[in-house]
Amino acid sequence: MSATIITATATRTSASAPRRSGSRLRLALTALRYAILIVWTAVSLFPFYFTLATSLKLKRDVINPNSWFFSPTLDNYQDLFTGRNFLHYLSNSAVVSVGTVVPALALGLLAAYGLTRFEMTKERSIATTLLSFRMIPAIAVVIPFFLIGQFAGLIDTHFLLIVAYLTMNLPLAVWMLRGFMRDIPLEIDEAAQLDGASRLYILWRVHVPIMAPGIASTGILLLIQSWNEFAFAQFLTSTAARTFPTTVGFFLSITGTSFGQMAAAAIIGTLPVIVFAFLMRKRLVSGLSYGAV
Amino acid sequence: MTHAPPLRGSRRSGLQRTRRTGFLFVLPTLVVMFSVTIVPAIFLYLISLFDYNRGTPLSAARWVGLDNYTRLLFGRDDNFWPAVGVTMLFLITATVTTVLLGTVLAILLDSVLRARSVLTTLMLIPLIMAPVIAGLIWRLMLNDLYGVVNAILAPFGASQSWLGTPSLAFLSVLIVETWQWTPFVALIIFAGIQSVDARPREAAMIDGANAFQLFRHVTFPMIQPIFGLVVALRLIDSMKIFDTAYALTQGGPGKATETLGLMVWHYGLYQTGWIGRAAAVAVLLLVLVVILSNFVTRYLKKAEELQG
Repeated sequence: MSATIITATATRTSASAPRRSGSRLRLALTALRYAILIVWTAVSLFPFYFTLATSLKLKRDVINPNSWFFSPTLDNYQDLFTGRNFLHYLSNSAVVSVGTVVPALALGLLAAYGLTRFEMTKERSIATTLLSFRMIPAIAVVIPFFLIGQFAGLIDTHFLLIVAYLTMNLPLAVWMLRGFMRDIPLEIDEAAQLDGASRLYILWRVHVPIMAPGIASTGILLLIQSWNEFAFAQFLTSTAARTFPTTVGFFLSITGTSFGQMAAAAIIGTLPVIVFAFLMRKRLVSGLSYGAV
Repeated sequence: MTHAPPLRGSRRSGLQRTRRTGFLFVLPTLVVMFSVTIVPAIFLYLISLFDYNRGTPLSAARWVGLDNYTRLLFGRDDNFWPAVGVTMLFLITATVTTVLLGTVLAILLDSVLRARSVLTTLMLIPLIMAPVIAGLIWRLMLNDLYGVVNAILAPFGASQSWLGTPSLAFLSVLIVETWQWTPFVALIIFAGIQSVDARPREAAMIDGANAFQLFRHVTFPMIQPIFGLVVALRLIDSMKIFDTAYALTQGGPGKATETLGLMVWHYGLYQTGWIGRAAAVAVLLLVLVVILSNFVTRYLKKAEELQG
């Protein structure tokens, strides 16, 4: 914050330099910077706006992309829930997302505690190795998951998807929670230990409350990536456990008239994620860069 | 080195025992990660040594050794090298566009004083969308007949068959990737610039450095580990591309947008069901990702040392 203020002062002092043409140029430059940023943001939000608009159009307006003004309708949304059973897919997504985030956070907390509190040798190597599992492409390991699932009779169950999602969620949980836990001073642990607290008690009653915001934003980040996951869900489920993103498949071979439904599905799938992201927007970027910033 | 003292209460048995206790906390995670990544990866490799088709019993699998690999690597499979080519071309172009545009946006965000939080919040929206939904939205927008892109271009006589022409289909996937991931680069680099010491930059500014000089000679060296990390992450993510291309083109038209990820799908999980051959492609993709992920962890360590 203070840095911003200093920069501001610096800019202002040099801007008030005697030559007027200089300050005019500076003003034009600032305007140009804002213009570029605003144009980029507007253009990048246009697909979202267009999808929202399409989802609210009647069939006759949908096939005319130039219908900028139209009378909105919720028909498309209604069709999805009555005709295509979307509530089922949404609840599957919710069950699987929550079902994978909870164990990921629990195991992640234990691991973060172990990594940060015991002067472990090679602590950083263990942590980075764990994190690198996060980068495994789902499409590559979906084959063994599919075969194992098939022989164990677990295809199309929430359980298999929850386990598969741990491949991406657990490494990220450990990594992020480790970052938050390192910020807790060791003196706090020592004080609690002098009072005779056990390690699990310290973790649960001392650390967890202190780092609650960090746990929450980790949880939200994991929820977002689980909610958005496609490859595992597409090939490990069919109907019973099918999650929301895979319903995209319904719309791949359709023609103009169902575009309204397609857009409505995209909006329904995106809104929860936008809410989640908004809740943790301050820490989201940190999470996306694995805590590097 | 300023190692914090070991926790008291571990008595005289000391560090050795403390470390062992610490390991017990990490053990459940290691066991789970071993079971969900290493075990499937080994299984994947084993399967890639067999001629095995989807839906048949395991006993029908026929040992073929490295045949699946030699078929891919030595030209008997017409699809493999083109898919490697598409993947590499996409990897390079997508990384270049997102990193260049994202860095420019980050510098601009850093250079303005107002509306930063509004802009950064709005920029997040494409980024957090499910890639498969992003692909779907753009499939709608790029539709030949009813798509808004052609509706905008039509008055200029520039409407195109975006997803039906090989080169344009590739360009479409690139556009969607750039649209979705440029904010990723912009926001991380911007946060990186904000997190480093501002004084050197102020000094350079007072000395009259222009924006480009400032970034090239002062800001960039300071955020270099973060920049490296972002590039490495972009390389990995664009190499892994599956969801977006699946929703947008499914590899078509022909094989114009068939990446390695889509090839795994086509061979193993789509109609043909050649699990063994698909597994070989998947193993090769996995190896490439593991190599690149080393760069990520290297830069993460550097960034961590930077933070202290």
